[in-house]
Amino acid sequence: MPNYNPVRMSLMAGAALFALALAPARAQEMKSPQDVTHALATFPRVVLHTQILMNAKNYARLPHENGEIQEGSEALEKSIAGEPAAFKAKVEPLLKKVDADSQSVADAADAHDDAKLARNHAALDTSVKQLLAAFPASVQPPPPKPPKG
Amino acid sequence: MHHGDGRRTRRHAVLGLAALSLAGCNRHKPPTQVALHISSDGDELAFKPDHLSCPSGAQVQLFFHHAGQILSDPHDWVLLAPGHLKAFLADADKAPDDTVIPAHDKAMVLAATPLCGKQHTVMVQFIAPAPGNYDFVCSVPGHGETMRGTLTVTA
Repeated sequence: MPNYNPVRMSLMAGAALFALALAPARAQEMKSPQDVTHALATFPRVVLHTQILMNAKNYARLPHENGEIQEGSEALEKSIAGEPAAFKAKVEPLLKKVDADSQSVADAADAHDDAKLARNHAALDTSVKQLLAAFPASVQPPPPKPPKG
Repeated sequence: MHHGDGRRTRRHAVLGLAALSLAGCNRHKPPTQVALHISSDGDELAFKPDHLSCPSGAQVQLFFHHAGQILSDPHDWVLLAPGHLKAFLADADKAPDDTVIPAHDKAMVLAATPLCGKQHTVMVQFIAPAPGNYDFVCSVPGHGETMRGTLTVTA
């Protein structure tokens, strides 16, 4: 016959409620939070560095920044390799958009097209912000250090 | 003349020579040797620390470590003559590659390490200049806007 001891039942119900309360917090945790933060930090940093090179009209050097976005992308993919498939499926298209926008900046630099460069750089800035927004607050990187003027 | 007077005179002469000889030693005292260590701040475009100091005239060995983990852009450490920061960075930011400090900018440079790859360390030796504050930067295009600091040379 099952044991319906009221004390035991209350304890079990309490434990279940506690587990439910913790569930959203657990969903925010990542398996390699430092690696994720470190990888995420590269994107706004490269966006800022790209702006500095655009200000200097250094068209020859700008495509090199696209290589740094690729390095950041690879590091980010590696850092989230152990995350649930649903999370990776959410991040993947955002990362692809960042990569594509970065390539567009490199293409505009090759064409020495300042107006297109500015548009594509703004698009890259937006897609980087959208990528970062997909991650929990606990792994958000600090903003890059601004130019010293 | 008493023997004692002669001995005193000789003793004074010997002491005087010893003093002169010590003074000569001081004049040729080897310069102070100083080792300075600095690195990039991980993948951030910044030096860590961004302030160094050493005495004027010291023989400085400066070690720069590239502490990047993800980004493979190289860095260097370039000490500038006073008053040249803006002119140097204006040229550096426009440089098509990161391998060479332009010939016309070399007069602005007091000391520079070679370019340093990720997780490597490079070194430069120089004699610390006259007392004052000196800017140092990374000369890779665009880096010096954030990656810079000050060397304080004391008297």
